[in-house]
Amino acid sequence: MFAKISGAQLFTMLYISRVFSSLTYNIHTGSKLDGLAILIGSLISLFVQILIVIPIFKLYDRIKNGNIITAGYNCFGKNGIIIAWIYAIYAILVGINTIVQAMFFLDNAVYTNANSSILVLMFIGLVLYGAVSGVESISRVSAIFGVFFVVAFLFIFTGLLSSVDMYNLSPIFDSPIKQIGVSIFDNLGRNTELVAFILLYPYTKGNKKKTFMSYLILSTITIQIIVFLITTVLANYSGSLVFPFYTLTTISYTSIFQRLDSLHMALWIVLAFIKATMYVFIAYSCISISLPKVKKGYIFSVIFIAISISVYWIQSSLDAIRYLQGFINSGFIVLILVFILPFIIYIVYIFKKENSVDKKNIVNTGYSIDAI
Amino acid sequence: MIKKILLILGTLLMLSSLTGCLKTINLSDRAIVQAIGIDYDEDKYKLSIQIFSPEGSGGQTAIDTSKQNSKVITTEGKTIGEAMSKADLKQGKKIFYGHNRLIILGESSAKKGLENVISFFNTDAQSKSDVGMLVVKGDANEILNAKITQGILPAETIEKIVRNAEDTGQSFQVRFYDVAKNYKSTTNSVSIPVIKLEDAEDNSGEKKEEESASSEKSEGDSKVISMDGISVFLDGRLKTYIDQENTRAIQILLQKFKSSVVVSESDSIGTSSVEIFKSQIKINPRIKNGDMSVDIIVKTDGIVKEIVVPEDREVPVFEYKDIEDSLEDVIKDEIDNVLYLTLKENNIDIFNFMDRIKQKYPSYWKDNRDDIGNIISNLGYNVKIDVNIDRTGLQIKDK
Repeated sequence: MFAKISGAQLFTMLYISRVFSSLTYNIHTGSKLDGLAILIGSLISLFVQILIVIPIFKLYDRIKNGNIITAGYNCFGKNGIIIAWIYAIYAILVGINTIVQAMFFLDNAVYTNANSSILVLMFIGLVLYGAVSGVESISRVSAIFGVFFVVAFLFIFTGLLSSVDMYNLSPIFDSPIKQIGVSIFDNLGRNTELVAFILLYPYTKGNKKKTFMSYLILSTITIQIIVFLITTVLANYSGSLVFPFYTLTTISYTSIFQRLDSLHMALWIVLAFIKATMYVFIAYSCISISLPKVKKGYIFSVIFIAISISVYWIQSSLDAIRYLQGFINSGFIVLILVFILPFIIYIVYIFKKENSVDKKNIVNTGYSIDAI
Repeated sequence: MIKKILLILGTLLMLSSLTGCLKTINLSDRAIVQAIGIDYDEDKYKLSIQIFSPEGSGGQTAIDTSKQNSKVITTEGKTIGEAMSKADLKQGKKIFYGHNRLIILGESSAKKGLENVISFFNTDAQSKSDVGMLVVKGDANEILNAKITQGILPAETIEKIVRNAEDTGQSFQVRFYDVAKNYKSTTNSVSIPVIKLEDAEDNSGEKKEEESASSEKSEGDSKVISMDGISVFLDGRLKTYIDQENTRAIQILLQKFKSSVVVSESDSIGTSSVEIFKSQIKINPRIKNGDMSVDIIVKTDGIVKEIVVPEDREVPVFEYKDIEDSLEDVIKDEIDNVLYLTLKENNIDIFNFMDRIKQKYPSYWKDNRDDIGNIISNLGYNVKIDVNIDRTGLQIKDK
């Protein structure tokens, strides 16, 4: 009764959100890996990600209505609020990181002398408006721009084919196993959409597992193509670039169609908006489950203030940007939120269900998505 | 009601952001850079910045093709960034080099090194990675200040000349990202085409006479641009020049070859000029008896352009084997010469041989990568050319 978006809409939201990160930053940021190591690592990471979501899928098969947070309340009673706030804070941090990334790109690649304060304020306001409109609105926007993005991406890809040099894809000479391992973990950490998926799960109709697999496979293919292009076209030059894919678009051309960097900029800002909005909505949904009596407007006001202050403070410090990005992209965080915590809740849920005298209590705790 | 008012106010507030986030600069207040020349003298970088400056003929046309339509400002600084920042002061308009077409390095700055050049143009948001790069023997300032008689805009003319040279096997285009890529590479060396100035009367004396009556450009000091070989760099610094006559071979080895007319002369078959095109090259590294070498196989088709056969020779119809053999010898000699100049004499690899060795023999590479210079200098090469004339033109071989 609370399923509001289709599997395809969820898929596009997650896909756009995932690809945004890869379009923005250097794949070598934070880890000096060979291009081939990243390609192999991201492929293996696909299978690792399929494995780590097994506990959450098992849990959701048992919970007919609800998500990880309601399951947490079912298992731990009022202490379930801790789980709700862990996910809420994580979602807010990802939202902040997305906005900071967006402003960092604009400040460095587009408007180097601009006063970004007004941009930040407007952007956060728009994100908030999008989140208030609800998951249906966000998913519809993402569905429309998803199509534009795929077409534009294929266009850019076609323009770069003539510049691909396969000799830039050299074997991994130094510690290949270690490099691939780091790449696997790095890919896992960058896939914050795994957390988004498990929280948006109950909002989706249709075959959610099929949706998830489609998202995982297509996003991996897209990331592979991006990494392949950066490695084979730019080679070692990519290591000195903050936004290598943006540089690729300045080189890409097809016949009279040049300066595709402007296309990149236009689409990119929309992708940033969709990603930030999605995570702000997720943060709101987590908080509203834990505080069902608090009005929607108050929750969004608090989120708006928290994000605005954080973004203004973080974007003025390069160290803060680096630390935040390192924290968000840490594979450990995703592992905890997507695998360890759901696994613990699943085990406790099974244990409680099998040992409970009154099985109705497992379901009717009063905490549910219906509160939203 | 309050909600509606707040919604309207919010909308108006957001509309105010649509005016953009930078102060407005009118197009007439922008100095649009077409080419940047970089020289280095007395521990300072000297920039020559060619700006688009349309000069109308007084009528309705904004641009008079008989005029330069550009002006050059020069600045200097300890770094390229400092020099660039002074450019606004020289002419009062805001410098905009987002549409810059060319970066021309003078010999002095090429010898100083590419580090500052790459760092500045890589970091700055205005500059794009697809800008063309050229080197000049002497000062870049001279090139940009010269009265170039060809075309409307000097920088555009130079760009077109390089493009045409690439199409005819005389040179090849190098973009900034090509230079940056090879500069950052641990194996490849940078190579950049060289241009030079020639007096217009040297190239087209008759033409100059026709133009001198009406053209303001050709007033005795008008110049033309021509290609002058290739410059090669080692560790980011200019090492040597390779003559123009060797550029075809370099183009073939870099797999940028499109077409070129090759002339073969011999007493037995006379003189023939054949346009070779559709060149396919295979470069295979090979280890034999512990020594690394590369097998280079070039296959190309040919179109007969001109044949003059000696009077006393019998001429089989549609038999071009002898011409093909002669052309193969010519091309092989050119390639052998270039390989000797680069690998043996100057110990540099501009043809990505090391990347091929890295891919095919990773263990060999891992054992020897600390002494790449040794690999290059000891690298053997076997060149095999196969020319196939399959288009005879509209005249068969005849006396």
